[in-house]
Amino acid sequence: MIKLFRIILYFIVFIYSLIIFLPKENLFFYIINQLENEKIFLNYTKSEDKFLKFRLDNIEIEYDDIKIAQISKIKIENYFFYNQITIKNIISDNSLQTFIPRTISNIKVIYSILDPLDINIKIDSRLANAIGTIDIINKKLSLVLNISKKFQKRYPMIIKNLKFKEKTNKGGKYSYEYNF
Amino acid sequence: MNIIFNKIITFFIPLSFVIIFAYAIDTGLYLYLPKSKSVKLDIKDIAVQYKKYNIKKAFKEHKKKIKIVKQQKKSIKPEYQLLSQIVLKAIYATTNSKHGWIIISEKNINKTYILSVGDLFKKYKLIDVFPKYVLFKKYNKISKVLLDNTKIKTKYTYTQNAHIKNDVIFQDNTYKLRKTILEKYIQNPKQIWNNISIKEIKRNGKIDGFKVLGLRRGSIFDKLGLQKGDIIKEVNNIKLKSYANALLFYKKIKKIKNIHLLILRDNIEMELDYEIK
Repeated sequence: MIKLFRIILYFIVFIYSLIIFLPKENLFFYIINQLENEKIFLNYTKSEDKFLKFRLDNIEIEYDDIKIAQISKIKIENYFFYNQITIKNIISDNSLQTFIPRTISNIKVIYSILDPLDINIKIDSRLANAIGTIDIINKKLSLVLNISKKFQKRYPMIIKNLKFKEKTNKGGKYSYEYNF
Repeated sequence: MNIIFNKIITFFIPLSFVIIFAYAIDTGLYLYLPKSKSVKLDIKDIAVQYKKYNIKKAFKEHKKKIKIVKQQKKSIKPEYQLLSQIVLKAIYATTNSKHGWIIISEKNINKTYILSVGDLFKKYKLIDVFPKYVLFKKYNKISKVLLDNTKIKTKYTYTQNAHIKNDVIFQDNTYKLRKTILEKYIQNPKQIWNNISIKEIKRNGKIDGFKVLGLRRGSIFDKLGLQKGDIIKEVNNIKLKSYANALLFYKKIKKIKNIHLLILRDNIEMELDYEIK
């Protein structure tokens, strides 16, 4: 019993050591370089590597030399049993505001060992909220969106791609599915 | 005391090895991963004009001489021999001279023939259709036939001319779109959706162009030659395979000097070209 306890303990220590010593910024450089092959460019002003956390500030996203959006903070928290990515204040470029919402205040992507087959997503913005999951095995993204009347009026192109579910006091409930 | 010390040692030594092992793995990973992100070259003007390389210009020869060269180039415009035995009665031209059809007849014979680009008539192959003339090719020799304006006035005019006002100008066989009109739409993109309704077309679950569901008559899109049912496949060689591609073109539009549309009309691919003035 003590031996089994020891093995589990060593395993946990090994995993946490791996996370702590992980060259997080270099890993992020690798991701950025890979994204550049898809013409997506990420620029940021500050990065912070803490033991189990990695944080980026003032990120600018460009697609094929065109500024798409600015993000004030991306925080990646890695606790092995519970992992979370938080993206705060996504502001899309002025010229795109007729096509996509101007601001998304918060996006949370959570992966927990208690639900190993799904990645949970939560999106908050002034005009719409969404909760959804990514089914890892079936490679499917499902979102349920609560959309305000203002959003419905402003972004008809987005509404066209959503499936209407029910009417609510504030606007409507929609669903979106995407297989990748 | 010794027993406790031994127990601690036997517990911590393997633990420290585990930590060192994890550190070694991460060090290996560090050596493999890039040490910095690649530097992006800042190219400010993306609308680079492609010109033929002129060695004389490279070495800054006298400007006057260059002017003379330009004038000579202008005079080199091919002058085709006029075909007198063919009477051109009507033209249906598109913005691409390689598409279109014509109605012709032989001189002093009333029988008419309808030809489209590529068709043969008395060994003359129709190669280009322009709004006021057409070009035929026979044994590598190109001949020109002008539209018989004396008999036909408005009945067989170029289809788009009916709508053209000041926004789209036809000049030197190319369509020129006013930049101010384009800027008007950029500043007020809502007007786009008031004038045109489009929907993505999906093939195997992926976007494969945008279909024109409807457009307002007399709008800029109507003047650009778009029709209901057209599927826009490419804009300036950007394949419209996602909304991001469409937005990419929208963002670039201010710097663009030419618009090239590849559309699918009745399952036939067509190209529409415009110059922004």
